[in-house]
Amino acid sequence: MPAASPTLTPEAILERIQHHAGAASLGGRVDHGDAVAEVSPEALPDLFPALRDDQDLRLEQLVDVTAVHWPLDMGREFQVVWQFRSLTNNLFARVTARLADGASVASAAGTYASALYLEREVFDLFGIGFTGHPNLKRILLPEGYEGHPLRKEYPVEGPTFPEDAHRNDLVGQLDPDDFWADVDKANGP
Amino acid sequence: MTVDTGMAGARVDVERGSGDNMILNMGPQHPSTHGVLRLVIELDGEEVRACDADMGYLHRGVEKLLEVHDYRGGITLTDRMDYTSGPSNNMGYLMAIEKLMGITDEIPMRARYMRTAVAELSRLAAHHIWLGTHGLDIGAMSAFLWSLREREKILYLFEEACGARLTTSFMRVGGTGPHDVGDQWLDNVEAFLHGYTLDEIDALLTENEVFIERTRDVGLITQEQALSYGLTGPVIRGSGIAWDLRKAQPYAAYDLVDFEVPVFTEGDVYARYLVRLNEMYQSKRIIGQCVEALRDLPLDAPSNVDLPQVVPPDIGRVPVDMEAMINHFKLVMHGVQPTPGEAYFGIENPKGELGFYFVSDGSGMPYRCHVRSPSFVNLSIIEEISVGSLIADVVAIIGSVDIVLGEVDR
Repeated sequence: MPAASPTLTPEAILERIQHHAGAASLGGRVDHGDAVAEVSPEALPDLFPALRDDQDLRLEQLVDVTAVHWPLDMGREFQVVWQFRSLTNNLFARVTARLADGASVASAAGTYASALYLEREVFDLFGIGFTGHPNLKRILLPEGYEGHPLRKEYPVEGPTFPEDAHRNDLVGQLDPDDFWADVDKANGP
Repeated sequence: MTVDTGMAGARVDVERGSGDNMILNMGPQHPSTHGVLRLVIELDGEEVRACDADMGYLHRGVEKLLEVHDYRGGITLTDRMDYTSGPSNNMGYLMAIEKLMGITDEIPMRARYMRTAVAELSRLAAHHIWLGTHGLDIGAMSAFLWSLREREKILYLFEEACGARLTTSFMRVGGTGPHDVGDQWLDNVEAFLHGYTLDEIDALLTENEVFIERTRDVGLITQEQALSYGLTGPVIRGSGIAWDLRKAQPYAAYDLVDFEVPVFTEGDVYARYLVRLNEMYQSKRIIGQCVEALRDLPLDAPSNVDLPQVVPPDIGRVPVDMEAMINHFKLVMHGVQPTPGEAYFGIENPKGELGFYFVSDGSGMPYRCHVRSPSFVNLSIIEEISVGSLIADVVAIIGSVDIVLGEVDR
């Protein structure tokens, strides 16, 4: 039966996660009431089962996997974010890791089956690889699609959008005098 | 072409087939896939040997679009995800922004009760669509018509409150925005609740032997599977886990109203049916309490938080008050600007946990906004539990997991 209120404070959750990450722990904080731990990617294969099996934490659900692209942060462009939840203890925690563009990170699919779809989505939209995922392929975009739309350099209009059809360009070409002359003509004398 | 199912060992080989097994393509234009879901199923006779879900036909890039809209502009994108419960999606989005800005505790009581009432109305509307179509998939035609009749009344209430029926864009950051409602609306909600009954549908399905035969012991989900697959909402409560964010981490006015969380332990399609049906009775209770609480509040109780950098000033003050004009101008030009940081907030949507993860760089537009959609995560279990069932049961299973493809694909 789930606990009515959280059994640990965010600070205590953070301390437990950092204990499991050991030397790979790169810091942490309590952000908006949530424990956020930053770890180095090599700790992850052991960290996932440890978080699930720790009796104080029991983070038995991987709620969400996503990523954030920081293109100016050379060498550590991607921040992968895992959100965990314990239903038994009513806890919530976030783990983040920074990766270089083109690097892969360990898959959580062996511990949490929810990672099967969530990691495919991150792979699809960011191009981040997950080693150990049994079926890593695109999920939302069609097979053979080029590019990863949620990267910051990917244009919102899409890569094949004709440049001269851009609304801002059309606005730039408009002569305001011509425009008001047309309006006057349309309105009659 | 080889289609992997994602499960270890089970994969659908479209070209070769597997011996005498047949490969069946179900969808994307199939009435019982509830939208544009495509299932590639390997069949041995009528029994499913492997199943692969293919989605993305409705992918509109909502997360990319949210990065180029200011925080208030993004509201209109959220109700187009789970279009069966627009106001509830709006609320999840707004409350995540409020958490990011640290103003969650300052939301006035009137807004909290209104949000709760409208979210529960949209839960009723969403469950009515599910109830109707789930019955329709299994062959119970009458439930569909009666169910959508009730939903129609709820949509009228939405229309009266904000002018839109489906894509409501209800409420704003910091409160209810311009969508405050008067006594007339509360009267209409009370009239709706007074005439609202599920007994007809209950009588049509719950004791219906054909319905029970089709749903009992079908699509079993164990507790371990439910946890590992990250399932939330009625699906996990049908497997005996009493997890409901409204109780576990109360938001809006859920800590002030009295309701129960229905839980059934069987884990089959029938248990999930019973969970949702009982949830609808509880929603009715919650709405009634919210209406009473709204009536008890004084008429001039504020419905928006008193922060000029979040809520625009009263429009009558703008031409005559310098400060109001500045605030209005800044809000229109730059939008609300949370301090740099990140926040995740999840609410209990009709389908499960709808979460928004925001990363702010201090500007008026989110640096990154990720939507944790309940349908997307809940859908992943279908590939596993449909293996070993009959092809006709796959239809019942899809209906019982209750997905909306607009939210799966985003």
